[in-house]
Amino acid sequence: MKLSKYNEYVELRNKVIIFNMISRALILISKGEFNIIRKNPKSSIIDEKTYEALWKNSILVNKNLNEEDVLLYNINRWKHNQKVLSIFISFTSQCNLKCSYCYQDSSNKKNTFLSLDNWRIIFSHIKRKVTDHDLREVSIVLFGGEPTLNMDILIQAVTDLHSLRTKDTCINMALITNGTLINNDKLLNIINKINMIQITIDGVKDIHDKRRVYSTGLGTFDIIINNLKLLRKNYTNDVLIRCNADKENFDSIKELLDYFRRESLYDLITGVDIGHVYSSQENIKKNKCETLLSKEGDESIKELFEYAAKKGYRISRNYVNGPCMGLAINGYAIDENLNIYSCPGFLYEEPEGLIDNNGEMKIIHNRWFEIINEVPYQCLSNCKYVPICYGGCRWMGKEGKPKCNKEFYERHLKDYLKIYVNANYGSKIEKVDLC
Amino acid sequence: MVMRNQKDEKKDISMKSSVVVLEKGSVFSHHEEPNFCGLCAFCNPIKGSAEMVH
Repeated sequence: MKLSKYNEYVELRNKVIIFNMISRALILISKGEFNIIRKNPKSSIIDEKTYEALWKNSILVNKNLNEEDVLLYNINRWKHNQKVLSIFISFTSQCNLKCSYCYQDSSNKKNTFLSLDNWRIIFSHIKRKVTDHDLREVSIVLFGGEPTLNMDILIQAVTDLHSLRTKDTCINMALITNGTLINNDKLLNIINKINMIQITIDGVKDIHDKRRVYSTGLGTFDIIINNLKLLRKNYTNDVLIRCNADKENFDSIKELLDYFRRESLYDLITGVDIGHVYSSQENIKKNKCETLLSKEGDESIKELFEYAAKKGYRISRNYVNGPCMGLAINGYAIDENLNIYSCPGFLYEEPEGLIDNNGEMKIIHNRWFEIINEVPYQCLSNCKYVPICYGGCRWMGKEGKPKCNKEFYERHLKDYLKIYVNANYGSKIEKVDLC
Repeated sequence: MVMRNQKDEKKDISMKSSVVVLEKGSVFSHHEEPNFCGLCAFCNPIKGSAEMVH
């Protein structure tokens, strides 16, 4: 018996958090017991219950097991899994806002809307997959542009997708919106069929209104807050607040988290996600994105997550970043013209496939197969973080190489594990400060 | 003789298990999860939401 090479250990006063990157198990153990196991994984003074828990969760593995082989097998199974379907659907490439930093590429946009006929084709495509493959989990992201600009089709889609729900088939719908148009009676009538709504707010009014504006320059903070209050009355599922962070708004995001508590919006918010202001694909190709994804920025975002956790917000497992959805045959994005892309980041670039009038998917571009067939052998041999990254992001990569996250994980994974455990299991353990 | 000594030692100084399983794992656990990776701005929040335990 040996400790898995894919364990990450984080000390938390007199305890140790163990996270296994293959199994994704998260375990807390006393430092004393852990130190004995670390010296001798077969020590006879360790309780059988401990061995059982560590063995079941792949934290302890057979001495002769080659975990790289397990990982490769695992990833291959995941890539070709037909029981799960995850799709981004773009309802329109148009947006009613003109955010100062928008990272969705504009040059290839056609300003088109998903028509009812095309929605029916997409729906027949999904329905066929559900029926033919006995799908258990379907995750649909209602996406754009701003999807609520195409309100009638959006409502039709939510209603149709809801009709596919059975006790054996889970249909998980998530709406990504700027939140300015959700005060619509027809939408509010069906809104509880949507599992999660993600709304982006970049700080309190003075900062948000500089960044997330209508084309007239008018800010959107007040309308979004009013709409959140409307959701508080009408919506019973998850609301996730997304903050796009850079130097301009770090402090304002902290103020925003305090503001939600003051305004009694805290109870509505299921979680908070804070991300970098990304670069557009155009700028990535022009090598103009590095300053935005700086190490200093990583530290600041971590600080914001820590602040959110201290304020009682739940956060997601943002430290598990992969594998890239482009690697999975059942993970893709569809635009308004029924073109298919391996990831939503590639929307409106050269399509990799299409859905025909019969709802059948046809792959036409070799990039689709190149991404799926890719095996990051160098990562497998050199990087312990490969199970939660598997080479990194294809969209943010350059010259055909995915963006490597090794340095990020070396610097931040332990801290994020602490923040996550404190935020989500604070009642189970004694809270500790990171500093 | 050796066996008995080992047993006695275990009985005398064995530790009570301190393990708390916060999140169960399995080598194939995430096969039933959505395929969103969370690597970029687009699907990170969605992935998080799908995984959240309410």
